[in-house]
Amino acid sequence: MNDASLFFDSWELFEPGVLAGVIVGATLGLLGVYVVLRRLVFLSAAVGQTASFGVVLALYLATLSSAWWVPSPAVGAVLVTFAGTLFVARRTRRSEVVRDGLLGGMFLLGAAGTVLLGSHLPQEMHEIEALLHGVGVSVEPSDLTLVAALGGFVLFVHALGWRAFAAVAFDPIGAQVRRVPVRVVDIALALTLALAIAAGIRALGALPVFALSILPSLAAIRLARTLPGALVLGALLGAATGFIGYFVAFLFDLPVGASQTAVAILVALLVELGRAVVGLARGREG
Amino acid sequence: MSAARIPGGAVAETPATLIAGRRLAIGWGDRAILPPLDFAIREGELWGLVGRNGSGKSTLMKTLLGSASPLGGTIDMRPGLRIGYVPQRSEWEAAVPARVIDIAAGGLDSGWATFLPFRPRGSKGKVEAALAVADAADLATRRYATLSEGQKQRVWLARALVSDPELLVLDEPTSALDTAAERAVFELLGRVLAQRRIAILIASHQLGLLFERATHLFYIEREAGVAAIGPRAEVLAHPIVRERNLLELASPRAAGGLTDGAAATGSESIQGGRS
Repeated sequence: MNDASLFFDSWELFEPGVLAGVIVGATLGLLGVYVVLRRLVFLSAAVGQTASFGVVLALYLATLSSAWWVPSPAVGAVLVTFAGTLFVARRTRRSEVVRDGLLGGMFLLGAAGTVLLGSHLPQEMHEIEALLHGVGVSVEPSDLTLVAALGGFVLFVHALGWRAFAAVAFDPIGAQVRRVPVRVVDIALALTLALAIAAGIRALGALPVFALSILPSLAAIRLARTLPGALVLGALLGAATGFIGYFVAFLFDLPVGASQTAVAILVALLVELGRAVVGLARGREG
Repeated sequence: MSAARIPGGAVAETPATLIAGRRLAIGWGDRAILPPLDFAIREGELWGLVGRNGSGKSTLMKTLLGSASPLGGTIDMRPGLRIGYVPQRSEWEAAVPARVIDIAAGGLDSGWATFLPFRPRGSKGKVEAALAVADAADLATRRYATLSEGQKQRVWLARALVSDPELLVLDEPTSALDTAAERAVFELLGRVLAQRRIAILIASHQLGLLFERATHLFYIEREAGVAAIGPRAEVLAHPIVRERNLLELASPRAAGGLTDGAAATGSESIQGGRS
């Protein structure tokens, strides 16, 4: 086990990775409230694969042409992720069968497309893997800048428009009747999810992004009494999970992504345990 | 309201039309599922939209609410018409953390103003007033998930009333309620109708109380291509409706005509028939 003080003494070394984890955790912790409550928990797994496909597609297009319209890998990930998220989100309001089928199809298309196109790229597969999933421990300053800009933008949009997102997410026909711009809100939710997941996967990897987009939000929903409360709490728990996961990885020489995932699981379990204990105590009082 | 001169020189007030359909065709893709519909919903009227499951009620309701496009004909709405909508219970995810007051306040969130994080000043008073009208004031701080089905329905009614609607639309409002709770909802709606000059449209496949309380009815059957629309007594006298023995499901009060003081105004033509 490493000395905890060494972590803070060497803060400059760890700062980009820690900050990336905190920002991605806060962003996904907030957005995850919508993901969980709309029962789209496998969305981020499917979207993660789609983002990978977007990266590989951009690299593949670059081998064919150097034209201006060929996107960079990061932009390719965002574009393909946005299209996939929007497609699924707009078709999953009613039928759980349709939703699960689409998410499964999206996951498989992303996974198969990544392998198929990846095999035709000049880069080595480990280079592509690093590009797809980042390395977690040492986040590049440019990636941190990207994560901070996108995370700040997403949090700002959702802090401003939480009433619109809530209305469209949970009462879509009522929102339409009250002339809320449902289509704009749907697109905004899909775009912000795509940005957050694509940037998160680039900085942290697919596994922690999947965990951070579900578990802190689930815990927040179980604790909060109001939706704004759940959104704020989800962001705080996500940020804490990102930080603690990194710190635990340093202490015990663990892979960062897996450590952040384990901490997210622990947070969700502790909240469930706490609720059970409180429920039992109230039962005895009653 | 608009004034109309009647024989003898007196001026009678005709309830204003809030929403009207002319040769309205509804359906999916490009396939109409019912004959063209003509109707006009006016202030003070309580309309029942009845038919079996799968009869086209939801499609008609979505078309009226603007979430599905008409395949033909027109829907004319009074400019700026305020609509309050009570969704089917199953459409709301019960796990959403919310207090009763939060659910009711959501009914104020309209238009592009929802992109501002705070509601305008005075919203709290409106929400409290709507909760009081819906007999839900004492539930204000309760968690929504802990309420009974009847209480939840009252909360949704408050959410619909908070924007001071001129037309109140309810989709299967009593499907999860027992008879006593169903009667309470209809009594509440009757009070709202009496206190405010609004119109109410209720979609339901439970006919008893709706046949008793409605002033007007849509009776639709997709499979038979039938749409009978108009004042309750006329719709209940329609050959197809009589053939279906629907009156057996209604109370004697409904079968006996309009007796509850909510007089039918105007007369829509009985339409449809087998297509």
